[in-house]
Amino acid sequence: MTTMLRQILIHARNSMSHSLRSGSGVAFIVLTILAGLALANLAFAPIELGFIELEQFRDNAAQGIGLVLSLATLQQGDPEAMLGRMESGELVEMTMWARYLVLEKPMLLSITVLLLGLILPLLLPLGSFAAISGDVQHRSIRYVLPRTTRTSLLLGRLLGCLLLAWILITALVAAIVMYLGIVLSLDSWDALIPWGLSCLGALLVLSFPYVCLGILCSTLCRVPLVALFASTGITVAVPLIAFSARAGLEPLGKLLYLLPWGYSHQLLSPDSQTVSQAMLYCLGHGLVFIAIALHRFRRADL
Amino acid sequence: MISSGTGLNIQGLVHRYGDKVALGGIDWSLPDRGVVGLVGPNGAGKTTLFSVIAGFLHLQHGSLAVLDAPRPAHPRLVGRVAVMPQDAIFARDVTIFDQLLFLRSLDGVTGAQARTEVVEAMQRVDLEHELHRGAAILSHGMGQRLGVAQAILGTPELILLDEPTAGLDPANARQVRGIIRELGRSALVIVSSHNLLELQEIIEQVAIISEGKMVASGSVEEVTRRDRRFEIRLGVKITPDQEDALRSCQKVRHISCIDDHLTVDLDASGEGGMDEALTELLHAMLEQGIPPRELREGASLEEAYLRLTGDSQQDPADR
Repeated sequence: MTTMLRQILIHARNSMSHSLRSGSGVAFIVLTILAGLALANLAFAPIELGFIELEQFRDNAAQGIGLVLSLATLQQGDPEAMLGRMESGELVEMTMWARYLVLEKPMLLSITVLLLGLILPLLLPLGSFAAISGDVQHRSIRYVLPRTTRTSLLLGRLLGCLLLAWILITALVAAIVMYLGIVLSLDSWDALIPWGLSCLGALLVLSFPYVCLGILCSTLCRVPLVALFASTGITVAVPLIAFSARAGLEPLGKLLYLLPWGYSHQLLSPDSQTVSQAMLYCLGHGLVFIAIALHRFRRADL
Repeated sequence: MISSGTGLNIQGLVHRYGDKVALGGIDWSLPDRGVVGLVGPNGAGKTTLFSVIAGFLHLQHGSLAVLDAPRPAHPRLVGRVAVMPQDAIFARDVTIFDQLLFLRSLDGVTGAQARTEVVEAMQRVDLEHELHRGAAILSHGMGQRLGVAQAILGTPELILLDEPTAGLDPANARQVRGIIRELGRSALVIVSSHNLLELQEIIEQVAIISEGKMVASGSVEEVTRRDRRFEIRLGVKITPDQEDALRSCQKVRHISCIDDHLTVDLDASGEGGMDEALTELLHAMLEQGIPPRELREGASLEEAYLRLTGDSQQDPADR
């Protein structure tokens, strides 16, 4: 067990240091930082540049977030009907939830984190798609395999990818919180820091199943590019198919739960029990992906 | 030196790629020390066999015990098996030093000791000056030597080398052969090669594989007993009568003469073995007034290979 743990840590360290030197790793780091900062800028710009009054922005944001939450929770009807239902006080839970995010919590941070929650699942595969498939394609895995177990290798690579993703997310959230606190000063540090930590926790938990999905695709596909297309393709296709299928047959909307899309928003819920439940779902989802990856990898011809 | 312990025990090993049978029932047992050659034509199943032993390929059918483990890729084997695969490449963007250090750290050796061992392994293959460069700058031959360096890193008990001297210049090939001989004193080294002359220099046991079946295995002496060839350079051209006289020797199986070069296949199967057969030939030559200027034991392993694989029309090195 000690040997296995030691090897997992060595693989994780090697995976991280390799990411800092390899093309795909650097692309992942740069794109994640750029995309994160661009999203933050998108959220801040209307207020920062004075395009809109703060109160009006808050109302619009509450309405927009309410709509997104209604969509994500698979409420009946099209977006227009949902807005109507919200205004008529029908979707009171969604309205309250949205108001919690924009009124009770630092609004811009909530919006940025919600946007990051939509974009990160598409970026995370960039950091994990070549974790296994890269070595399999060049057969350099054959130098490593005699000196380690396949389980240690896969779990080590997973840990390496996860740690890198977590470092990036932490850096992004820290930069956003600092900017909000120092430059915009719309919210006090007392409000920003606890909510910033909650948002960071939500994003870290959310990243777990998507990194695991990247590792799973990297295990199933022998060519890194195929693994990349597979992981991003699945991430994009699941909500598209779910919403399209739902238009024809309501229960097919549940396809959204094939990935954390169906419950990831609950990580920012005002109800702590809902948050814990969503965290457990994320963890479970990731563990299922890793269990499949391990099962496949341990029996694969390499 | 072959020891009495068991390094490898394969029974009824079958491996298929779809409908194609790559290995069709291999039985092979090897001691825990010594240098063993694995030869066979392209596509015979050598690399598949290597890959199954190393645990790269899933064991489909049969049993395979490696060292004291009941199956390949057993956790008990971690760090005790080293492989130099034929077509694997090192990461291009990481220094060789870091890559070897990483491999050694997996064995549980870190810090100054690991660094020393990496430098020593690279020194043994004359690559120490490339340590802090990426693998991208290495030539094919240097890449081969790097493969050997990673295989000898640490103290592996089973070493699988797939074409270790392919693409090496004569000096480096000799150096690698020396390393293999040395490794064979403390580990079981299985070498796959098409260069049978070279292989014959370093191996004690040989297995010949053809179309997924092991057609011969045992000590080189056992496998090649019936295929002893000698090439003799003469000072003069011999006459047809002299050639007939030599052909009539009891132990001469085949004889051919081109200019002043005589090629003789001897039958070493009798009680006196090779010495008796050679003595009889040399007596006959001297009686006929044919003084031998140079005598060289020919490619007997090659002969055995060609006979057993039915590839007599083609030079195995060219396949």
